[in-house]
Amino acid sequence: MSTATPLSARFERRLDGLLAHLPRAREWLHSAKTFAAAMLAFYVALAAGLPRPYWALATVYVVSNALTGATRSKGLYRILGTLIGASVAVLVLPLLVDMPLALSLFVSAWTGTLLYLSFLDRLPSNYVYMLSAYTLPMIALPMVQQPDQVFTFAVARSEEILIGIACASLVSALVLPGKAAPVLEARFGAWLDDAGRWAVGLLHSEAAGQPRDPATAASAHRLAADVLALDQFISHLRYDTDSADAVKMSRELRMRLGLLLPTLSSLSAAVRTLRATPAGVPAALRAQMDEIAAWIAAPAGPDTDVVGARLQQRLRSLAETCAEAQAWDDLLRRHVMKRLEGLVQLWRDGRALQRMMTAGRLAPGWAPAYERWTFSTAVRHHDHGMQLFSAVSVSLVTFFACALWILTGWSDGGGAVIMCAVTSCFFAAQDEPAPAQLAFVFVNTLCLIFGLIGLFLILPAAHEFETLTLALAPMFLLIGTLVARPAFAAVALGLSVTLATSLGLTDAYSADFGLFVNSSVASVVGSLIALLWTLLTRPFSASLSLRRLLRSTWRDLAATAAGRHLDAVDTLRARMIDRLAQLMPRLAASTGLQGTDGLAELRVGFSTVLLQQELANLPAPAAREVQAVLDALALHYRRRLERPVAAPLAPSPLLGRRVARAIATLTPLATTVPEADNAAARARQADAHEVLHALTELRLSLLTPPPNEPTGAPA
Amino acid sequence: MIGDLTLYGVYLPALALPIALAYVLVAGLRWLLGRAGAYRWIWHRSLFNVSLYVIALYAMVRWTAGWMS
Repeated sequence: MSTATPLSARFERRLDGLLAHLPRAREWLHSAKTFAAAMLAFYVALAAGLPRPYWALATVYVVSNALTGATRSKGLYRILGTLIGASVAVLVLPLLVDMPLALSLFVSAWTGTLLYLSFLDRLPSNYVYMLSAYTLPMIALPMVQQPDQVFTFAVARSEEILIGIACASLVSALVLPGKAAPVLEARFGAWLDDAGRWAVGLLHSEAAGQPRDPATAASAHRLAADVLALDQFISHLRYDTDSADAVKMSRELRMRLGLLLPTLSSLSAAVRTLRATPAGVPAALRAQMDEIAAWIAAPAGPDTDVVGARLQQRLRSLAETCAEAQAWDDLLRRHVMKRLEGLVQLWRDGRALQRMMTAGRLAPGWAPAYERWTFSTAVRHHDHGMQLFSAVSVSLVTFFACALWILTGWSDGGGAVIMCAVTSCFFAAQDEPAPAQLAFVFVNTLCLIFGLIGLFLILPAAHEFETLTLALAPMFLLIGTLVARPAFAAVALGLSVTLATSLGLTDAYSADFGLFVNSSVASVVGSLIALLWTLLTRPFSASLSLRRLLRSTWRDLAATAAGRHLDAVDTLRARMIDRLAQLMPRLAASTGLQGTDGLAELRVGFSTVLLQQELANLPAPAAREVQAVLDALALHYRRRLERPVAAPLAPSPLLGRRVARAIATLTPLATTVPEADNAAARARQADAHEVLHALTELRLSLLTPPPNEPTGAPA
Repeated sequence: MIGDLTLYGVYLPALALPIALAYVLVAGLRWLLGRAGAYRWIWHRSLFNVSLYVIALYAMVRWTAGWMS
């Protein structure tokens, strides 16, 4: 046998690549479970004599998830959404059926309004609103010719969906249930790995002055994405059996991952600035950082927490040795130590949560190491303007499709209106819906062709339920393996649902070619109308929402510095972190013209909140200086708002002078050591320290130009 | 026991009442078992719950059949 030729080597590589994409055992199992549930639902719906048993089948594919809890929650949301949409259809259709214009107006207004409501809820429960948005046209429009039948139709559809959900939940709970706990455990590990990789990369490269590893920046972005993923996960978890502790732990972890973002970013900036000073990073501090990096990189062990506590202790004593001085270097050094301490605390908590997750329950006496800041994890940032715009836009296109239907007098045009509403709603929350809609149109068309083949070539040969199951199995099993993959989920879902619908599986085989073509054309035309409308009304790219996010960040900062929002500090912090999590993926995808990584704003925001809170506790002269800083800060962000986003604004010298003066005033307050028994004086000193840290942070994130980057501009 | 229930003029299948009663009963039982920590000794929680429900449903059908017919 000769040596491998390049051709065969290439072939082997191809084959390896292909094999890597083959569904794994877990995916086949999920697919088989889903198919079994789907056929069960189909059988029950047939036996119950329902008119459209394929809806039960399609519903199973819509709600099925590898996690039992997620299947349940989605099933519940689907039931609620269907019942709301169906009830409104039953109420309204008989009243408005003689006034096509009024009916069109109502349907489009309903769709837009419910879609807007779904935007306000960024968790999986928004499916309730989204589904009711297009269930109304789905039930009302096919019935305009026989409005007296709408109740029967609505009840039948609700029953079909209920059967589908019951079967999906039953099968997913009974047959090898996908417990959330092991998955969550694995995810906890992955999330902490992302955080740890960022922290370790930063500690190593920043301390030694090595060029920054691009992978470090990537972990930062992944961490922001992890925070968002955790939210989705938590809301599914609530529907898993025996998960109250898991939900609590996930919330705690989510908060800490969120706080790691500003902590690490601030640490990185402080160390970089410190390195650029003549004295550089002191050897003791660098040794400390290496030790912390090694501790974070080490896998979790029984002594992780003990070592963490010791590291924290050592940082404290190290900080006390440099407490006396007031030069910028000393402030920086103290700042680095403070942030290191925060990092160690957060990491201790993360590891503790991971350990408790593995044990399966929250230890009753667990006290978190990190207790500096808390924020509510339920608060979100909403871009109401954009959301309103896309909801109104969907309303308009639905009305437009209705008008087209009425004007042309096309008997199956109702199907086009429905598909138009569905296609618009599905993707309305995205920055750029058009590409996804195009893919949807493509998949839809593909399904209709598959449906055509199935309906007229394969199904005629299937005479009983058993043979039908056999005929459907290959296609649905294959699609089912794709549903579990994020990249294919939407496509596979559309495929299975449209396929089931277009096959029109009913108790009697009724292949009417004319009917099939008519409804297929309506379906494709409907989604094409939605696509065209999107291209016409939303030509702007993802950068628009990026610009709007940045502007609302600055508006919030200006308002905070001016002393508003202070009644709800937790909410404010949560909104800032949520906005950052939305901002980071968009910044990563953009060209970086905005001159910010989003993190600096978050640090400024947290510091501003702290300054505002401490203002009342400071002695009068210091409070005056801090107030002056806040005024200048508010002015800075107000002026930033007046300029275009892509034109960075250098902070005014005034702000720099005021920060320097405030630091000079505060330093003696923080460094005079009070008598040990004077509790009030000690508290005052601690407050002054906090304020000093916040001022250092402001100076660091706003006023200190980043020293020359070894690798060029940061991403 | 096959027949319809009438609830303010709305006809419901006769099975609806035992179904609802059994659900309430099982919800209570599940809560009690959870409080007692019994689920830690049960291998397949969902299967156990479904079986419990079937037993409860049977009991409720037998019980209601007595006074509904």
